[in-house]
Amino acid sequence: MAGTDRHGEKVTEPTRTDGRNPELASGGLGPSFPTPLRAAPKVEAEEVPGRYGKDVLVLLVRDPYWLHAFWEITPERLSEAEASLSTTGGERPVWVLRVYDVSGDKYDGKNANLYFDIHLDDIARNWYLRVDADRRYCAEIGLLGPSGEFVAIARSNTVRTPRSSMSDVIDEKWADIRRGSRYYEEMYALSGGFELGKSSLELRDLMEQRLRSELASGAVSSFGGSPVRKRKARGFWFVLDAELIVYGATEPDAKVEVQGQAVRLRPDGTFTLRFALPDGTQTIDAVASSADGKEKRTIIPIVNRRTEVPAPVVVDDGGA
Amino acid sequence: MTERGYLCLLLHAHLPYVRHPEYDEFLEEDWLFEAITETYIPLVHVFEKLHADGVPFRITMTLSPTLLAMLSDPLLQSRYIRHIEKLILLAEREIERTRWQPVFHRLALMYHWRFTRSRNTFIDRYGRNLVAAFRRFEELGHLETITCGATHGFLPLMAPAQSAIRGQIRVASREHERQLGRPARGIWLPECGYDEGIERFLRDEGIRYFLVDTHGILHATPRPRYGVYAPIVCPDTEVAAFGRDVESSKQVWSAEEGYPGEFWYRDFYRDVGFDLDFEYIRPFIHHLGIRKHTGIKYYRITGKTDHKEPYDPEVALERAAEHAGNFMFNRQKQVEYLEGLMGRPPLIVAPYDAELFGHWWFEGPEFLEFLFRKLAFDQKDIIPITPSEYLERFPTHQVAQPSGSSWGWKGYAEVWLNGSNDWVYPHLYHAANRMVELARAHGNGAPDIVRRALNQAARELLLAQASDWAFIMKTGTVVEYAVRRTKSHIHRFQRLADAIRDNRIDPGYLADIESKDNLFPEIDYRVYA
Repeated sequence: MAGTDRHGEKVTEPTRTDGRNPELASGGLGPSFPTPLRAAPKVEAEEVPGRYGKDVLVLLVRDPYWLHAFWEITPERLSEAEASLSTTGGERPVWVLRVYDVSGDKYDGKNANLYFDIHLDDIARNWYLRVDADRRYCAEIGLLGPSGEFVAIARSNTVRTPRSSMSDVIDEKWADIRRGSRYYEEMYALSGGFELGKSSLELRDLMEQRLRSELASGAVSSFGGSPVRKRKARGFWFVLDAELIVYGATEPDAKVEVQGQAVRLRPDGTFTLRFALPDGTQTIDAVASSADGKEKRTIIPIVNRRTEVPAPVVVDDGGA
Repeated sequence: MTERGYLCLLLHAHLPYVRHPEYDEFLEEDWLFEAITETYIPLVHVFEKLHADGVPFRITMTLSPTLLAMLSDPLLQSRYIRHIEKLILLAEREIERTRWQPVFHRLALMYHWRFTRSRNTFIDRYGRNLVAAFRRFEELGHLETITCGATHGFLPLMAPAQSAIRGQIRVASREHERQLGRPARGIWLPECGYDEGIERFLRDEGIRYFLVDTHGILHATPRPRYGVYAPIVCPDTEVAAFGRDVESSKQVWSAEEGYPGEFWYRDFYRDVGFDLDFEYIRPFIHHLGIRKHTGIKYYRITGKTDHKEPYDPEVALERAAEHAGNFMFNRQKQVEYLEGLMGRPPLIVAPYDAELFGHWWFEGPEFLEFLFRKLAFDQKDIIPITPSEYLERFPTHQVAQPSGSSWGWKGYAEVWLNGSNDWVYPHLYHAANRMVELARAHGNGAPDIVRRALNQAARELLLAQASDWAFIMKTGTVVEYAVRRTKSHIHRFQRLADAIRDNRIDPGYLADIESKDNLFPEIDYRVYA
């Protein structure tokens, strides 16, 4: 497939470097400066289907006490269902999600233990349902006529909610007859059974959020606010620091030392150094030596920085 | 046998597949680059040092298939080199800039040394592919690598389309064997998301064990005799489930009590990418001028204050050693007590996200190094072990059915299923079912281009299923990116599926997305048949 991939007539993106030639794609390994600012390539909007044209009802388990249901009903199937309802009295049928508790081994599709109805509004496409732990459920979505007649349009998969506590079943083979059930309670506590579900509130979440969050691609997500969000959240603030730029020029083949350390000259013999400038005095002795070793010139700037920080002024607006 | 218990330290290394050849530079690719510099390479260095000194350490490590795919991808490898070269240049400039500030100057030297060493390890020692490093330590017997879902899909929410679960596991299992040279014996279920029955898919791939969060074991039926301190075996399948120990987790994870909050440890947030003059730092941040973390950080946590003191690596290292000693001491006490209660040596399973060590907790890799040295030379109560070794040593286990669970907030699926992200599941459901239909309609002998389109459709389905997208939507961080990724993979899947159905596959389009979403080169769509 090499070489042919970008020639399809429907590809609207600008030509890009082939991923199979990484050296080219990376723009070379020039160590000094970033790739020049260039417009991000236009990416076609990749949307998802609004509907799939199938009659489905699906249950997902969120936790021991909540299910999630989503569905799609085709207009054809809806018309059928409406037609099959007796419409005497002119009242409109209502959408209902009928949830069956089908716990137990021998559910045959008809003998549910019990069910409850949720009345939906017309525009809902999904719903969260309150249920119980360690039970099996399935559901139907359909129309409930004014006379109480229910016409199911789609039936869901069957799900089972997880347990939310220790099982009552004790395996004889592994029972500890000396200590009885108190032993299990102690093991439960020692294993951290009373702190369940806390894990993720803590460092792990912070860490994952950090790892997956801090870097947003401006090209994609229009992330572009102040980078120093963390501080901003704490109200007014002010920081200031100083750096000193020392620059000069000499013969391109000369040797220059600043404070005893060699300085790299540009091809035209100029150089620039940049230093963080703390409070205090800096004696910046700079020495240039000619290439033939016959001449030396010295320049010594002496720089003093002193920083004063007067107390902040806060206008008292009367405590409003 | 003199030991009183076992410690299984597990590092879960995973990043979502982020690779954008269509851009010159893409910020989210930095997730990988930061993790390489700050976590994976420092861990490899720790392994090397421990091995050189004859320390018998054992670490179990998830290498998620998407991470393996990125680590072995030539484009990302060369972009990593570009990234580390830039960091080295920045460190060089920092060495000069901080000349009059000795406390920062020596840190600039430290970073320069770390970055050049990273470059050396990455390029010269492991030929740009860190998978080779992990493979080496597995062959040396120190590391047990395990797999994960192919793209870290949250399996319990795939329950209505069971083939989707099989796809995640089978593709992962094959990819692991292809990359590591041996089949994975265990699996880290993505987010520890477990639902009854998943073990059947594991058994079919020859996977012998998985990990669940604490309550997955504690709420098993029947009651687990040893709590989380021994694995249980699922009925009928003989696949073992190991549970996470809360106490050892908390010592490391807890934002309040955990070791990483130590005031002498390096602060994560203060970074020269945010602190320094814009014109100076501009070549090292995003090319549109967006400031970002560079990795050069000069301060320590200091306390709950905005005023941060400069970082002191020597003191921080001492603290890491103390914390390792404290961690070991607490495990000894725990093991001693549990052994008395249980009547057999307990197994303590302590899993962590690998990226915690080094990336978030800068001194984390050194903590691990100290811990394994101390375990080897300062005590005899606890033996470091991997799950496979444990199963070899203790062949008999209680049979019990683990309970549905995850290690996310509240312990179940809510992080990945709530108002912010529930819109994705209808799309994933329909795509998974359609994948099965397509795979069944095209058995052996499909024409080459159809086979390629089907394989690419399978990749798109898997990429759309990554739990990372739902997680990001929930946590509200780079939501637009996560939404875009979900939509584009669903879109590409459906477009390919339509083309296959209509027998009108556009070779240009197919080749284009093959080159973009290029992971799992040997995927076989028939896993969905």
